Amino acid sequence: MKQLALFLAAALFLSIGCNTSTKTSTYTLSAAAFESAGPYFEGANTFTFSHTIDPSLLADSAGFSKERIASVRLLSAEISPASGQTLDLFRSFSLALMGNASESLTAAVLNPLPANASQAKLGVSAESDLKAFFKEGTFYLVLDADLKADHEEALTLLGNLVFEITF
Amino acid sequence: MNLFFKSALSLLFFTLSLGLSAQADADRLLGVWEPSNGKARVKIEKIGPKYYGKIVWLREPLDPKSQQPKTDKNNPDEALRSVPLKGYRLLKDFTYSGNNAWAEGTIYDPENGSTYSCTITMKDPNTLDIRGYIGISTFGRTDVWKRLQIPGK
Repeated sequence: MKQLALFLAAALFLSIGCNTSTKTSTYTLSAAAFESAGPYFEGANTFTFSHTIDPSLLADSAGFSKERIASVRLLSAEISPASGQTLDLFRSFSLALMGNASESLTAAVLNPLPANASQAKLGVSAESDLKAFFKEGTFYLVLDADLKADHEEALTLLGNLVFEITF
Repeated sequence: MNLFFKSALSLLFFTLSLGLSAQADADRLLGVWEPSNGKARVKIEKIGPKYYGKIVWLREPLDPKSQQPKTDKNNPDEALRSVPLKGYRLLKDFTYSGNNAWAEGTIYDPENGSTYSCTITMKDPNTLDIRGYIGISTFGRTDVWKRLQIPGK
């Protein structure tokens, strides 16, 4: 009887410990300017955007500590050309995240880019957990843009990215 | 006082020159390299403090079946199988560890979709030993990569 009581007490303790509610929130990056020094050559050219967030502030706004960030997933990624430029120059895009202390991850791709597209909506990877980058705070968003031909004028690509953070 | 400032300035220049020299040492990895099988050429570039290598040329750029440009069809993540192989970043996250070696990185084999731990050792300015392994470096395979020489240089 005593053993059963102990077992029940332990089970109740474990149940309270594990029954922590999860919450999701979104983090949006609008018009992130991906840049690369030209001239550009036919094939994959690397455009980068460096971003810094305060993970504590981000978690705090959701009512959690940054240690409680359980996963971060890219929900959507759209690329558009800067004013006066066109996407007709490109064949495909792939987007990766890189950090000083985190292993780089590819998060989205669009190949091929539809003809005459004014905006590129990339397919996102559901498997890429980007938590490490958000906990690190500063990371690079790296857009590999496959150019159809050599190009001399400066190019900028704008990204609208939405992340889902699970606490 | 004057002597103090001179000494401080000398120390500052010495420290800065050491830092720049280490940087130049690490950046010797930058360039275009060819694996021993000659199937691809890989451009190593620096993003932030780390080194990455992406495929910039393929001897056979088209898939023999579809006659379309090859993609990363063996990627374990199905959503990423349409990433073009030309432009694919197969060397990732290398940092310079001194003594002509870059470590902490990975190499991806697009032929089987596997990623391996990897170290790079520069044997001479135009030769790299690329060692891929699982677990510990003892159990692995080394390939020799040659720097792509520009004719006339």
